[in-house]
Amino acid sequence: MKIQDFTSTEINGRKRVSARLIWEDSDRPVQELYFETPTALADGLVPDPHAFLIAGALPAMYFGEARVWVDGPVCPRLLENIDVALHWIVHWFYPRGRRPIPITAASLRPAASEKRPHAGFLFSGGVDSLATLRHNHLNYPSGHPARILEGLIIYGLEVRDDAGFGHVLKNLEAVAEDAGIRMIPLYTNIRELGPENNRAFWSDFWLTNYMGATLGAAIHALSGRFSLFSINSCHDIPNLMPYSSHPLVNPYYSSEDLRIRHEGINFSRYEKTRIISDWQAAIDNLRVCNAFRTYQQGILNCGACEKCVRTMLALLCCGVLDRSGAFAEKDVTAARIAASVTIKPNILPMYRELLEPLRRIGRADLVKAIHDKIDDCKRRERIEKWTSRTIGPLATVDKKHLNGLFGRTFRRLARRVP
Amino acid sequence: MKVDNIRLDAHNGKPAVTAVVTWEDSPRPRQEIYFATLDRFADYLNPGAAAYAVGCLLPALHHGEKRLRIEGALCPELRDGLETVMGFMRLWYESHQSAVRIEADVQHQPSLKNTLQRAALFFSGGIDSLAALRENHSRYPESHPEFFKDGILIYGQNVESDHRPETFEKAMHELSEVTIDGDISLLPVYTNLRSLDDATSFFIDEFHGAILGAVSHAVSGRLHSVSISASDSIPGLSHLNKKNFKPLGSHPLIDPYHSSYDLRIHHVGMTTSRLQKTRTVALWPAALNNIRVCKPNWPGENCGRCEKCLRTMLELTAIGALNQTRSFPMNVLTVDHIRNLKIPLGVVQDYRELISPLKNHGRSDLAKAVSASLGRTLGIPTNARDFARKVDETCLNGRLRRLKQRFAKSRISNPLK
Repeated sequence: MKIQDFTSTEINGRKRVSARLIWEDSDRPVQELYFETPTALADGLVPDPHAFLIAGALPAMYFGEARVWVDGPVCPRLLENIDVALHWIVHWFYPRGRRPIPITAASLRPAASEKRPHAGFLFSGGVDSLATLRHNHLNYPSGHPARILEGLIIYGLEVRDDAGFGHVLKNLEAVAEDAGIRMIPLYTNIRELGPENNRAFWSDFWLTNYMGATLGAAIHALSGRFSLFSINSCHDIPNLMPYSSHPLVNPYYSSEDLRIRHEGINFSRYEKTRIISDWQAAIDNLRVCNAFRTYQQGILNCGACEKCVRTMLALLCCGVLDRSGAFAEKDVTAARIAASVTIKPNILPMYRELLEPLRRIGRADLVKAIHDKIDDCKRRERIEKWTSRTIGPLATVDKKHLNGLFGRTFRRLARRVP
Repeated sequence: MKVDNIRLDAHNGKPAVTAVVTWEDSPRPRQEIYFATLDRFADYLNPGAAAYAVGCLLPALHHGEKRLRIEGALCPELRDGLETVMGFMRLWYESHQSAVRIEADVQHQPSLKNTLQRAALFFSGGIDSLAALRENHSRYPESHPEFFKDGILIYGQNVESDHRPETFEKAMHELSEVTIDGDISLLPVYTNLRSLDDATSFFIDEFHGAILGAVSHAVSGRLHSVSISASDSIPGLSHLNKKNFKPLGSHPLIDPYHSSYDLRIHHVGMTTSRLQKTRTVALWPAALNNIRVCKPNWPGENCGRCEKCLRTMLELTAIGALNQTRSFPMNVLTVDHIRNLKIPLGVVQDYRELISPLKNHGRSDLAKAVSASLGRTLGIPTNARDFARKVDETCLNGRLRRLKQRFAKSRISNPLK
């Protein structure tokens, strides 16, 4: 992959920085990758080769490119770091013996002789993100260069709907104003790097390998502004797992002049909810629901999906659900848990930690409902384990040597059973 | 635990940072802990709270202290980092149930010294640090702030090896051949931090990275970045499986969290295997002739007999460089030298990668001997006898072994024999 033609333009009231990604070994068309911000907030948005290198390296490896070549100056610290990040991703997710692809740059970028220290964070409006901001402001005195002054909200990754994004911005503005920080919306087409109808790409690659890099790329697009940036962790120390956004990966998207921190691994999800529970602006404008197409003015959380219910339970334990404007319902019932919650192994610890606080506030009904769901989860896990030990190898043989004949026949027969 | 009276002072005539450490919940004596260096490096010393916070936290956690009260102000980033370090240690070691409460003032502003742009690495003369130095100097231009300009050599950390001051002074003199050639200055730091708990297992499993972190902060008066060379590569770190890590005192999930806003601590070199690092060192004559890896003798001469010496000599043999170095007592390795080699589980990866290069260099005899040792360590039978032993243990529940023992006992106790 060649990364070249770094440009900066103005389009429809936004400043755009872009580069061309040219595939050398993979049969894919040339792509123009861009990042945009409203012109009024574009101070520090630069066509930084670092942003496009971080965005391009993992897809290049995924689609079988032999190298990444950047036609611009790259910081030697970033070259050293990104090699570490790629090594972890390859070690976790690629077959044994595979090595990261080599990265070369046209020249080395010297470190900035002087740079104004400026800290930012990923401002998604979720529990992880707001806890990062709150913890930072409670621990870093005003004037400290690591105190967060700006929050970056990205359009084009998770939220890809203009109306929905508008509602998000409205809510986050209220939080930003209360915290005394500035909010910067950043628009990108980075998702166009993936084929829209390739399920393996989105489920296996995007989430597990690449998401941390997409954030790193977006942050570097604003390298003229930030010297320090925090990405919020979704896993705490006991529950860390190989993942694209990880303390062994995200910090390695840093350059000498822009340091990226992976924050929040010291706190569980419930602890993070407690950190923000005494901050009214946060609990009024919290956004945890991923169904962005259902967002409405002032209502971002459906209150019925698993993530919403989990967050409502945590707020209930903190005694603030009834005064949170983020959810229409002011209580959680056992029936709601029964209807909405399916506990998967990765979120099991987040429910386990709620049991004791729920018991303390006298909600034995919810404790029982969660226990039932945990039992369901364990039952499913046992079945999955049994299936992977028995049917799994048979399915592999079928797929490999019989072209999936048995699988197809079985599914056809299963469909006929009323 | 309390840390008081942190001050610039002198220790044995050398400029030092010293402080008094008092245990509160553990029946251990009050100690004066120092970090000293030579007069010409006196301006490196930083009498801040950071060195003591990093250096005292894990002994306090290990011995069940309820709090760590430090006189002075701590950087909020370091304070968060210490909570993270405790988090990982508590995850890895079940005995550390309750966390230590850190009590210190908040440092409102970083010190102005971060306008200084000077990087250092810990320099023991081993394969990891020699390769890290070489790699850094090939990667960064000399004007870059991450270009290593100092190599820190610690006296007082490896109490299990040759701990005599004269050995250290001799090593300083001999390593200066490498540091002059490598264009860095050798910065010795003398410390008794390990006396807070000098048990070997505690040092390796928990304390090692913290000692390096504490020393980094103690000499951070002129540094903005210190690098610690990884002893494990990424596959070696994921010792159990891809998800779980081998707990270690110096680890990529530990060392960077000893950083403050002012002083970055990096864990470098985990993307290259030990054999690749040895290749890097072999291309640098001054380093090749001054490798110091010996566990019992470090920083003195390599014995050529211990596991680490043998491992390094095997690596040099595998790349055809053992006959070019003065670092070891012999320049040829035979099967007899490694016949009784016991490979620790933690370094299995280092030996695995040797087998093929040894064969390629016409040393199939050594490759076979290494395979046999690996088999013994991993419980994989490599000859008929091992195979019979394995079958006995797995299928016969050790009946053959017990029968053999009974037979041997009866022979000993037979008075007629």
